[in-house]
Amino acid sequence: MAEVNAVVGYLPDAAARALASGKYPAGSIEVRLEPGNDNMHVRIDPKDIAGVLLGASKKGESGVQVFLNDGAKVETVASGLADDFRLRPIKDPILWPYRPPIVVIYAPPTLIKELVQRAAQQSRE
Amino acid sequence: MRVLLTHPPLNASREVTPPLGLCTLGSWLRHQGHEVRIIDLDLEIKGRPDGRDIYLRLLERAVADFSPAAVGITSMYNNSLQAERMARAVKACDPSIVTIGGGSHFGALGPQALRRIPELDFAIEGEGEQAFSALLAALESGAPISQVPRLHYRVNGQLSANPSAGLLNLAELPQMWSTLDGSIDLGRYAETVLEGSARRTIYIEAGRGCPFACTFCATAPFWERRYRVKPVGRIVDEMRFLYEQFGYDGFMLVHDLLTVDKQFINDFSDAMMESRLPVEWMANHRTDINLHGLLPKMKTAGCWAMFFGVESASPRLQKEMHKGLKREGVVSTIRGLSDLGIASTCSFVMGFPDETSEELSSTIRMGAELKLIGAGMIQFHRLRTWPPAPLSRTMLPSKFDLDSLRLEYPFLDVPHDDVAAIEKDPEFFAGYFAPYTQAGTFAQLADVELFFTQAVAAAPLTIAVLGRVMGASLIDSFYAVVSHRGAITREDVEADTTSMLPIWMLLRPFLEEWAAGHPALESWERELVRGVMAYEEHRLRFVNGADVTADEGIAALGDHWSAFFSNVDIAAVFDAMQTDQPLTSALVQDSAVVLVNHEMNSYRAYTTDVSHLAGLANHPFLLEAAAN
Repeated sequence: MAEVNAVVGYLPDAAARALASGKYPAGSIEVRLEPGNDNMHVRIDPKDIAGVLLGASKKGESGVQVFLNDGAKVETVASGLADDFRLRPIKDPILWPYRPPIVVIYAPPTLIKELVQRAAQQSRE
Repeated sequence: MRVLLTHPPLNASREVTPPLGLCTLGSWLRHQGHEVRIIDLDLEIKGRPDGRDIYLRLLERAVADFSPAAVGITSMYNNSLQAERMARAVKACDPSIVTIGGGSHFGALGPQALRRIPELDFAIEGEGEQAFSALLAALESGAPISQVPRLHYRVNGQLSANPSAGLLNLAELPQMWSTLDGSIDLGRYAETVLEGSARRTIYIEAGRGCPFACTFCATAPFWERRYRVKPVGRIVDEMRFLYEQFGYDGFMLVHDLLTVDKQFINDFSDAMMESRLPVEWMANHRTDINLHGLLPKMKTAGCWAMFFGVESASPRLQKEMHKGLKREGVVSTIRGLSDLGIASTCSFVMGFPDETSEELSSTIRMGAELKLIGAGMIQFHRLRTWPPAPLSRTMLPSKFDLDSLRLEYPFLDVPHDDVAAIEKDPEFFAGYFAPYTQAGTFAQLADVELFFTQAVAAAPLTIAVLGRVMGASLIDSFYAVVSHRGAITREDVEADTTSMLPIWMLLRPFLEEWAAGHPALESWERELVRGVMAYEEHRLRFVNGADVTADEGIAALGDHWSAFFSNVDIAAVFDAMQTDQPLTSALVQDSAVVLVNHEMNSYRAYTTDVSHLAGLANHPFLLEAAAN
């Protein structure tokens, strides 16, 4: 099945709106995986972005789906203790909802392109 | 016609949301030109200790104020006795008022309701809108009521019933909340939302009908198993209205199984994204409906949670109850939602007639394991057979179950007279007569429901590990411990609900005795259980801000972190449980666990070698955590 990769998370409202309307910043963008919490974010080079869908805004952050170009490289930044004490994270979901940074969306890239164009148009209106 | 719609007291909780069925019916009737007022006695008595004594007086006052020609009364099984008294009270006020019953209970057992309640003139079976308005039209015009669909009534003292005339096209319903203006005061409901709630939550109807045929389910046959949804734009408009007027920002989309139609979910998600409403929503879903391609969009569109009826871990019971879920599908769905940050609630039903204690053991274990892969909440419920569920028609041997009545009754204690009234009528109050089951006695199942709901919430790793090491004997050995030390009680659990820590302190001695006394456990398995229990206690104490300085096993402490000795490798235990690997004696090895509070309510845990403990206090990251 056709598929694209995406990062699903949250951006400050202004940044999310700018991205959704097709205005990409010069530097990398950092998409938070949890709202209001920077424990884990995904750093994306704008040239790797195929498009952005904008969701609702809450408390200054907007939900976003950032679709990635094929072969995009993203950096996942998780705040935690460095491993110099050989600290191994305990994946206890009660404490820390571990989430993989990239999700696969089973949809043809052309459909995603159309969706993104439509969303960008709406963001500009 | 002037119509009063009313709803009996429902439960003892503080938050109240508008009665959806009555609101939909009320807006439909107003749309047809009737004058409608809704009196929600659940709302009226909220916070009043004398609620049980005054709800009928409040109804009488409303009848006197409004002078209705007809009163529609709904009930939800647990408050049908109150609904019955309300019908009597209305007739006592004015015998000329027409009384009409409907909703889950009267709507499923119309003839029985009329037989029980002489003061009830009519009962409407199933979906109420079209039948109710047709009845009012007939009463106004003097047309024969034999043409009113779905109606149960008396003719010369004999019961008579009219057939259905099909289901409503939900697009014909008017915009509910604005149509109801003046019929109900939504602001009073908004005032009951607790301060500091993560979301201001309200139920709204997205549609009706589930096409599946689970044998225990009463709602699917009630809506005739036909999937229908309201138009997407109508739902979004309702959400916008409630957000803009009353600040509601969390919406429970009421529908038996909303996700059956993927195109609808796709369109709804698009509409929510386009609306830019800063709100979230949740819906019912099934683990064998594949939404993989849609879930990211749903998340971005504000989907915060999904509810699943998983029911049982037993493939045999899955087949027998016509549910047909497979464990792999359940696990992959819950994991997929967790990966996206969408919360999930998984509900299990226990006590099917030929369910064995071994099958129940595997169900409890599955619940705990789902919690370990990210399910937000696990619920265990005893089987109830309310009509029109297919199981309710099988006349299973059953017995009155007072505990399940107590659990659901609208008031905190059930008067003897009410118990006697319900016990006397097993046909009408079928749901309070539990079928006999091989899985345990009624009292045992009540203990299982209470204990494991609490234990899986407080200490899922402990229960999952116990489930693994005890296997099929989990429940029988639980019963053995209960038989000689007693179970925890609902009063114990409800004594302090401020956090899970008091619950844990209740559970711990029980769990210790249970693990220590199980004859089949090897010594390393006992050590493993001891280790995971110690971890869960430390975690609970740390997260709940308890003073941990004197805790057993504490090895080092700092601002915002603590480290303790452990006899097991906790990280490896989680890995094994989450990846379905076997538990082995190699997991029992000395280590240390470090718990850190990075920021407000953001906790992490790490396993480390004991030899590293000495240097922890100067670690820059822990110092940074302290600075936060």
